[in-house]
Amino acid sequence: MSTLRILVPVKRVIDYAVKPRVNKAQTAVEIAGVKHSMNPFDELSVEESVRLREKHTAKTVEDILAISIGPPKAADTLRTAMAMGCDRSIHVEVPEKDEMLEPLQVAKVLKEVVEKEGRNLVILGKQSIDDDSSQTGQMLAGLLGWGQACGASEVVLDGEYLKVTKEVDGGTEVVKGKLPMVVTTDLRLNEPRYASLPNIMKAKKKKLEKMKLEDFQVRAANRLKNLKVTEPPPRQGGGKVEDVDGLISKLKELGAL
Amino acid sequence: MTTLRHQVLNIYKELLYLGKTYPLGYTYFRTRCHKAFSKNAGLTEEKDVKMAIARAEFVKKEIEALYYLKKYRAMRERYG
Repeated sequence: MSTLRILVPVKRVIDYAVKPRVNKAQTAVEIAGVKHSMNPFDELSVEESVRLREKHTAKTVEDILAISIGPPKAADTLRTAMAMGCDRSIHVEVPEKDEMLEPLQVAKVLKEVVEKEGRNLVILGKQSIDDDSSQTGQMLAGLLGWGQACGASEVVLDGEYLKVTKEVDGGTEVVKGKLPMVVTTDLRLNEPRYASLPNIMKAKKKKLEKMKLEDFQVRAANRLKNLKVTEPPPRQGGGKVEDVDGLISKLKELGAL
Repeated sequence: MTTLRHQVLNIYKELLYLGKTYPLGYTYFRTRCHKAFSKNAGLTEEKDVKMAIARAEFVKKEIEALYYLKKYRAMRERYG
């Protein structure tokens, strides 16, 4: 039985319950004074790594390391991850500004961390609910040359192998891969636990290492430029018709008949 | 009785922490939570206090489940 050293990247995003507002310059969404929390898909990946440890012995899962690349406040997100069961975490601090890092840069940083910390399993959310790129996991697997299983709805550890059930259109697909691997989580993988107050207090004692982007060999220039951000157009209300004839004439008018 | 007293205080604190993100607002939650606790403030029998604590634990679990479901449903609606 091999020992797992898991890396769980988490992202601090605008809370799912908040309706995002576009800023006046139409360059990004308003982030100042808006409630933030951990990306829901990342909660699933934290939960899955903790469950892997609970299901097997503590020997199987040697260490769960959480990492976040983000503004100073991302430290709170890491505390939540540690309260849920991660052992320690790394915070790569990036100054807060409108533009955020692109998936490729994130994947490159993660690659360096994976190599430095000797990780052999990366579990991350399939996408974040702010930019919805859904690319980081795939890019990381590509950069590392590891196997990948995206959109997992079940993960089973079997010796050196991981058996992952994925949800695809019209059914499920089961893939089996040898460690090391990259797994991204889908919505129905598990039910994340709540980071309770006593656990958050205990998590404050866990190690949180601070790093800077300059510590990595990544160029911070973004390749893409956001041209414009707008809100979706408001929904057009439906109209009422008096009788059947009215309905038919309306349908004809719209070219449906 | 000291330990029981601490248990009550702890569960009250935990509930208040949970209430910070309550959908109807923290004030709504706090007043109701406070009322529920003060209603049982006169309990003296150890058995009664333990039962009240068990009830508080149950409510805590219910609120956690409520938050989880709310999030899950929102995510399912958006991402399928």
